[in-house]
Amino acid sequence: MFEVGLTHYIVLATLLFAIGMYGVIASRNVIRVLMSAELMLNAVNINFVAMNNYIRPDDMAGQVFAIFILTVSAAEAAVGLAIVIALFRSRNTVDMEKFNLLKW
Amino acid sequence: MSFFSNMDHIWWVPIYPLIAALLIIFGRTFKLYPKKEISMLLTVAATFLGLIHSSYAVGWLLQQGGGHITPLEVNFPWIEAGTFTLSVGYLLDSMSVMMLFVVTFISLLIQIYTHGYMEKDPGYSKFYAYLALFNFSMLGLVLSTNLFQMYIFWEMVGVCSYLLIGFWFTKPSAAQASVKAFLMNRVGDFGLLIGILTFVFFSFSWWTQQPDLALLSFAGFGQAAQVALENAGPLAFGLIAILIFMGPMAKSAQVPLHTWLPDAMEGPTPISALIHAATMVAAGVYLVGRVFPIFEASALASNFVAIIGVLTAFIAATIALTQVDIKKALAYSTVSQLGFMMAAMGVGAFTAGLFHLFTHAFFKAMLFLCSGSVIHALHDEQDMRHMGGLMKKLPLTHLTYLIGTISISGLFWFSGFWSKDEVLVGALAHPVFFLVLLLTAGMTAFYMFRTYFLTFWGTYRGHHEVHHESKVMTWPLLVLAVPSIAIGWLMSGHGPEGFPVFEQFIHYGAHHDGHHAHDFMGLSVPIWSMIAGFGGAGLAALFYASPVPFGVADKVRQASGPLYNLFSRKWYFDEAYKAFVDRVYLAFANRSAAFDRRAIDGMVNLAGQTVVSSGYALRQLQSGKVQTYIAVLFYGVLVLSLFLMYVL
Repeated sequence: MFEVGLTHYIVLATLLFAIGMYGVIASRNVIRVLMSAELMLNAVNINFVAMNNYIRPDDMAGQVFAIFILTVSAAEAAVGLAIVIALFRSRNTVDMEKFNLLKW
Repeated sequence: MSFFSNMDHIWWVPIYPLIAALLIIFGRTFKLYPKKEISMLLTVAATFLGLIHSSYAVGWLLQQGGGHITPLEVNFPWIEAGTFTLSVGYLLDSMSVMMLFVVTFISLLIQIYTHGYMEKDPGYSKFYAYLALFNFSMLGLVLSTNLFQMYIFWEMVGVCSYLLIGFWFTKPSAAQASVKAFLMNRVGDFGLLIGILTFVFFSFSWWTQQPDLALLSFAGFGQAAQVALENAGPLAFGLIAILIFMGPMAKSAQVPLHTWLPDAMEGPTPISALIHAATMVAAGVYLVGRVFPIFEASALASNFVAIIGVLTAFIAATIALTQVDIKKALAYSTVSQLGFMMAAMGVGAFTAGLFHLFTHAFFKAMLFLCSGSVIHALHDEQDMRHMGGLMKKLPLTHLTYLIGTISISGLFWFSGFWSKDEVLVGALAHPVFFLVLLLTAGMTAFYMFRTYFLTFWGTYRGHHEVHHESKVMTWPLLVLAVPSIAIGWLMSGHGPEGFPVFEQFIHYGAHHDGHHAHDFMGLSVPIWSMIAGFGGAGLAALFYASPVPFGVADKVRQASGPLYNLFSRKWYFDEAYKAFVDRVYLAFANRSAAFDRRAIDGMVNLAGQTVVSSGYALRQLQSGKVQTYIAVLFYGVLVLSLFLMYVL
């Protein structure tokens, strides 16, 4: 039977992180960028939990960190979406390319 | 000890007008005074108090009698740096007492006269503030103990002169004249400053060894000049003296720096009388008198002074012959008389030069005030061609102008005769100087009587109705008439027994009673000067006042074509300066400016441009797109990790 090990988790996390990264870099929609950023955070969470489980099973540090990251990312999503709404109200678009007021 | 023993209060003399000036300025700023006449009262009161102190000082001086006078000198250290100490203080000796009295006396009369002259002027209070400020500077100059302090006040009188010439600054000619006066004086003062500094350079070690002497104090100039002469050598020392003389040259309007003074007549007439005839322009002669040991020690410098003085007297007199503006004619006559004083200083006739300064201050102030009275009566008409026949309409002005004219012409017994005579006696040792000065004295009589006849004789040629003279303007004239007539005789040594003799008090070196030779070609000098004076006056009468109109003046003018042009165009000094500025100075300045713009600015701009253009290139990297930054960050981390993993 096929045994699931640490490597699988890391590969999964890497793929997830790469997908998130692609989403952040390539999307023009702000909402999609925020969602992709969530994917990257969750890839990190998987890494934390998996490493904690396989390398130092007696310790809880990885899980605690994962909880922290979930909390912070929830707050971040709330603030981020509020900003997006404010942006949309003033600029009438969610296109990243159009948010260029501070550019030279 | 007696009544006059304590003279420590004399420093109040310049302080009063300073206080008056400040009070007027603050009063004007905060609108404290209900009436503008308060400015006049403040100024006059300050000067009157000064006159009381000055009279007291005269008493102090007379009590010491002739012969040796112990000067009063008080110094306060001002700037101290190591061995270098600059002092300020006040010096009371016969010269400063003489000047104090002249300045306060004439100032007082002119300030009263000003009330009549400036009554309708919107700048009445401002004018009095300037007058008071000028008085402060001039009296400070007179009381200075050392050359450096004098230099400071010297510049201050220059500023006051600038302000007062440009008093009617909305008139372009007045504004230009004030700038011209200031710039011309800068040229001279630049030389003076360099002269003072080089003089200090060559004598500094000697000054530091004198515990009792403040740096550059006049008391030490005799020895300091010898020390500087030894250190610098005769040629360099002569040049230093000439540099110092450049200050007096500009201030006392000596050729070739004289052109500002006639233009300064753009100022109100009381100013022309006070500053540009009686007091400030005489400051140059006063300074030469103060530092006389320097000129005595250098034959080069004293000859230079004498030549400049004689040239000035002659050139200005020739110009005055042709002027039609009454104030310009008087201005050139002032320049000419200042030339007389300088010539006297140059030939070593110290007493004669200062005596002429003394008498000239009275009659020239009076002449200018008379011209002011005439101008005021004729609604600001200054052209003598539009005057004439004013004898009956302005009787007191006529009388005083006649007195002034006789006095300046050096006709017998009037003040100018005695002092001019002394100058001529002093110049006897140099026959050329003597002859030129004698000729100039004749011309003086001619042009002064010319102005007199043109203004007061004949028929009225103007268009305005003639005002009457006002009392506030005529009685200062009458007061000034007294010294203009008699002060020369009284103090010449030929006056009544027991009257103070000028020479006993103001002399250089040991005083000697014995009179030197008075003869030139068998005739004594007074006879010569009488011939010149009466000759000039008679010629003027023939030209301008003969009952039968000969038209001599016109014929002479036509006959002397080019010479007349030379004189009436003022020897082309202004044209020469203009040509120099246009062709040489501006050309040089423009080249320098172009070099500055192209080469110097070019380098600076290149440095700036490099930064700007490299910035522009780098700016292209900053796209402002967050996603690009993230991508770069990510690939950067990737490359770095691969590098860390496989290379290291």
